[in-house]
Amino acid sequence: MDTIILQFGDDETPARMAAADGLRGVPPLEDAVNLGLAFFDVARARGDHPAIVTEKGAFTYGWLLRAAESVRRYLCSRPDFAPGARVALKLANSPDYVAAYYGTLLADGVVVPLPVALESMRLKQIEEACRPDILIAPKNLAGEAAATLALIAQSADDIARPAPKRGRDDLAMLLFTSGSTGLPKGVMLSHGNILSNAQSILHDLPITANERALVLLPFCHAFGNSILQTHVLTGATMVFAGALMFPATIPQSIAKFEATSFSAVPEVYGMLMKYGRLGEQKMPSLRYMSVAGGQLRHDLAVRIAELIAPADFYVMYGQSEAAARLAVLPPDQLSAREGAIGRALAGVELSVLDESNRPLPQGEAGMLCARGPNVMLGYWQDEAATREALGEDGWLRTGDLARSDADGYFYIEGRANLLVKVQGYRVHPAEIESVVEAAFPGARAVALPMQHAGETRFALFVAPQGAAAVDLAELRAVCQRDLPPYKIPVYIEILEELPLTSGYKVDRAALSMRLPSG
Amino acid sequence: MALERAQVEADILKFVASRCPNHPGLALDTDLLEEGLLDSLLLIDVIFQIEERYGIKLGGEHVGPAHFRSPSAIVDLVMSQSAAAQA
Repeated sequence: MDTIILQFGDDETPARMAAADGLRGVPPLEDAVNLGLAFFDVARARGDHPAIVTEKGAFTYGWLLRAAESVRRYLCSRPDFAPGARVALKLANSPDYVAAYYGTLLADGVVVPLPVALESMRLKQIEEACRPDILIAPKNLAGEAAATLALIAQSADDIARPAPKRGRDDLAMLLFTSGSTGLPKGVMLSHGNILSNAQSILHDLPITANERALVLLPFCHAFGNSILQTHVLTGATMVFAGALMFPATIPQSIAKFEATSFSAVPEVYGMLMKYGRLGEQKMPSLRYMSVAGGQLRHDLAVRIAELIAPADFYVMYGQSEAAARLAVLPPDQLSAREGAIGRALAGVELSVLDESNRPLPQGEAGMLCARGPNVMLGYWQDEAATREALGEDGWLRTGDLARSDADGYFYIEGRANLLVKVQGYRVHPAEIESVVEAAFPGARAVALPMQHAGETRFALFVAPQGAAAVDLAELRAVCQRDLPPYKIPVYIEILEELPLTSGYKVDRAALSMRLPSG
Repeated sequence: MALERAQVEADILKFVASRCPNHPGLALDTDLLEEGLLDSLLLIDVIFQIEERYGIKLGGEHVGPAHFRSPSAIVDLVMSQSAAAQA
């Protein structure tokens, strides 16, 4: 696998705010067949309009077009590059990421975003699963042998419209997420999946070409990727400023950059409410905020909606397997429908089905299933998992248990498997257990979700079994060393024996009872 | 009872060090932001530790880069908030 470093520098062209009608002549999204080309047409039409604004300056759509074309030409010039080749992006949110993303698609490649801060064991599993042909990485993560790629000199207007061959049913990106066994699964999203989901969201959310979205969600995450698509495909502006870590910087950045929207996972809103001084900072430009990637407590959602009014607050629901959003709760329904994830987005079907895939009567809890042109092609090289998730009738089993009400709103009741949402990431307890069991051979580890400081985190129980000795300090050290922060247990207990159910399985419910509350 | 600065320094340093095992040289003046050691989860946990252990309550004005740049900045924050709570 060869590594490439992008050295595109800053955009020197002065950005000029273009009117929304600057999209004239761009084919409508429903006619698009290739996501890369859809980007190309918007970028060409938007020219000097800022695509990305950072603390340092603006990057116009024209610059983005040249940068993406630079990537496309480089990839196509390689004799070993064939359509369908996998290009891994190990880049944080940046103009380079966006250019590499669409450049790869324009070259008929497949994008594989890699989280920058993933534990090495997991990263290795992903790399072994998809064997990327090319890696695009920043200088500090690239090896000595990496080649550098410069920006082409040609102006955006002189670049000929490329003719990629891949269409709506072809694979566009592989999004790795946690599967029901704990091993990473590559969600295969086609050009059509991503295009149709963007179209659905643009139908139900007020995103216009004059939008200036403050974007802090990572693009390697399904929700972040969805935000990227909806804004680029409308020719809107994304603002990269502030830090999720320091919540007060979020309202400050919204005010400073006149941002019109902001989207985040529930944990971020929890921090924003506690330490973000939301309501103190005036944000006259703000039109809406949205949450997805986990369930936000209803009282918090209502309070946020009050604090940001007259701006709207949208509760949304989605899954990587659906590219990524499935439901939206209209802001005027928030206070009346406690705990609702909303109604199906335009073009998406949601239904609660029983174990034989028959619809359950309204009000009864069952498997929440989704169908539509945004539902993935399947899991990368994993037919068994694909069959388990995707029935022949096209229904995607989300793994969430839900019920619906008389008006078609859905409510999540729990999970059908052990997957846990932490900071918007789907984590299987086995991801933690396997790391501990590998470090302490013979020991049996069980990880469980627990509430800590108002958020979902993990607790760990370890039973040494036989002669294997397990030391608490060593256990902590292994977790710190081998796990990313959101998977590190905040509570660890060593037990002589793990409690078992009557079926001789580990009794997770009994372990859960032992947890301190907090 | 007034807090002993030396004790708070030891507590904070120990907690942050336990979360940064790959950074053995962690000191009171280590720049946690520049070294990329502080992420949002460590921040949440440090705040949780501070609030639980010293019985102080932090507000939005405290959770910013100035107060969390280094272990000693965190100690300063604890000392000043604890003194304010006593006054």
